[in-house]
Amino acid sequence: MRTDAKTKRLAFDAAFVCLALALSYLESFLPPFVFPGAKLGLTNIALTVCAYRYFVTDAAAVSFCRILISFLLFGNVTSLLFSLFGSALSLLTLAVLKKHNLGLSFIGISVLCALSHNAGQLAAAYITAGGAVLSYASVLVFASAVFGALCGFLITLIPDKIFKNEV
Amino acid sequence: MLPSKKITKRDILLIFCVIILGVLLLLPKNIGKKSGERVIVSCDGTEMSYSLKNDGEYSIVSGEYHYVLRVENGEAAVTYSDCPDKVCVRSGKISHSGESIVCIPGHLVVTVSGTDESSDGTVG
Repeated sequence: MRTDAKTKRLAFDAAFVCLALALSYLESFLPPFVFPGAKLGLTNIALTVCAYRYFVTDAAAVSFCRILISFLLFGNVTSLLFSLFGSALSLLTLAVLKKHNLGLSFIGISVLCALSHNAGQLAAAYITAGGAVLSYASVLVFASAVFGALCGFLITLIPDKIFKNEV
Repeated sequence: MLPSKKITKRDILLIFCVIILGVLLLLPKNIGKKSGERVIVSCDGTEMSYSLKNDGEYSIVSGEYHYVLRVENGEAAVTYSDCPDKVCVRSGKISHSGESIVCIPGHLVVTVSGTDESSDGTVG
């Protein structure tokens, strides 16, 4: 039984990698909305479900694999650095929020993840392009509130069974 | 325990706080706005500067990408770019001191500076 559960977890984690990759690819086709340069963050849906179904470490592994495969497929060093910074900060937030919920629903959790993801990306941009990028911070903060809430709403539509390892 | 699936009061409070944070970050850009005098283009370690008073189109190569910078009526804009995300083109026109256009893929930064000290087209 024990190995069964382990195999299932590995299989699901692999499925989450595929899902995250597909979502980020899908996202690249969407035209930029109100905020120039900001993305919807659909990948976060897969990562949040994974983190609550198993552990945040699983989500971190999934995220890292997703970024690595993205890099191998599309080969962009700048976006690799950006993704790594963004997802590291976002996962850290998710880890804290999974322990101490603070009375937030998935919508609030998603907003905070989006905010920390954007903060990480801005830090990466600051390193590569210098202080001028900081003028972009307010746009990213607004984008986090809107897109984070939207992704959070999408997460609430996912049935409980998937979160509780019953499927 | 799974987090709530219905929006909570804390969520609304959080989103409100985030929007306030966004507004606060917006403020320093609009306070004490002065019209700029020059536009400084830095790409791959080289820096060029053009006067905002003279209209013109300049082609810039930064990294692997090509750009066209247009200066018109005291405003500068990146009007063409072959970079993948085109954020620089969508950033629109800049004219006030401190405003900038950044293109991450090509490591291009265009900033408006307030003082008109160096001559046209200096490469430093």
